[in-house]
Amino acid sequence: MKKIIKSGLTVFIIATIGALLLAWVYSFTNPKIEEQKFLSIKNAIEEIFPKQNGFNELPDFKDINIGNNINIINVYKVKLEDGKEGFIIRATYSGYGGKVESLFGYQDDKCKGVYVLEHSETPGLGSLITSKDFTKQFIDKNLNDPFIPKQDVQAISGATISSKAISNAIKTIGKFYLEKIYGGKK
Amino acid sequence: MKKNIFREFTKGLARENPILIIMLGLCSVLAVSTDVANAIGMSLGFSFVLIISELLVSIFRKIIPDEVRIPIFLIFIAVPTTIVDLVMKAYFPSLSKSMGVFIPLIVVNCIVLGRIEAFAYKKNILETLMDSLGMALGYSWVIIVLSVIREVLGKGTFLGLRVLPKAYLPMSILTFPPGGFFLIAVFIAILNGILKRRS
Repeated sequence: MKKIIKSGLTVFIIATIGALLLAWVYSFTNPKIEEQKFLSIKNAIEEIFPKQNGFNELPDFKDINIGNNINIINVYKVKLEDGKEGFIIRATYSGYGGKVESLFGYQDDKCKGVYVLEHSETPGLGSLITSKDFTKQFIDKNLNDPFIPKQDVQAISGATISSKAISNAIKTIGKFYLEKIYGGKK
Repeated sequence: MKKNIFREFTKGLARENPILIIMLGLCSVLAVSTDVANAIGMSLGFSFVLIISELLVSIFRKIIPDEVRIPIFLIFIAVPTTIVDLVMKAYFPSLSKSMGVFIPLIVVNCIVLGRIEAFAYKKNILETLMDSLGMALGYSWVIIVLSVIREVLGKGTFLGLRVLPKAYLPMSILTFPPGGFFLIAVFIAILNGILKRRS
């Protein structure tokens, strides 16, 4: 009995100290992580729409599940320098190794680019969905295209599922954009 | 005595190399050694976790009850791993992004638990320090050399910059796990050859 209490207490004390230590590290890293995340979103939006005068979040579109495991987190309206409007949709979808979070840029009936914020795809293979060599093919691509890898989309060799997932997400979210955001405005 | 301590350090480099001789934790080695940047990041994270957790176990080895040692070891591994993960996310976001899930997975890396159970739990602090430094260095050199070969020949780049001309057709098999296995096998053959000749 005494032994059980002693062992249990030792584990308890060590776990408590460990938890406190982690809480302390978390307290000063978390604001930095949040800041990095906002910064990466801002940079990504500026990368997709380089010529712009700021952006703002649309309150009507938040946490919408549009099927196919695709979840729209929020939508940003971007004021472009030439007076037109672009839209950035931040969404998660299923990749090969779990959830992928990306920004999708749309203007008129075209995709203006994709930017992957977070993913857990296989390093060196599926993780190449973040590379510009892969994502640049989506810039100015018409949303009525089929978006099927090996047909009109150059797939990453060895990462067919990841390539398919991102192409399908652009197409499906694009449909939502055309119907609810772009079309709804007209 | 002094010579013994030094041997605890050098054994991790070749004689008891964690990847090439003990052959533990190969999964993350294969996954992370496709890129030099990833390999360096993984080496740093892994070394930090290994050294800290081995030292903690060695310091507290007299008060850790035998029956609950494994949960305690896991706490000693999980805490530094989570610290590495958080710090990387906060200060090196792009690196942490490209390493994906493999930093948190250091928790279940069998080299760490293996060294703790087989060495740190039984030896004093100085010997443990030497062992963990040697093992960390042994792990790092193998994974970095592997990644240089895999990235240069498999993708034609080094740290993301193109070093081989565009006309070079990359041996993309090297970037896949089977190619990594072949390379590790070649390394093991060379190392065994050298070690045999020496003895």
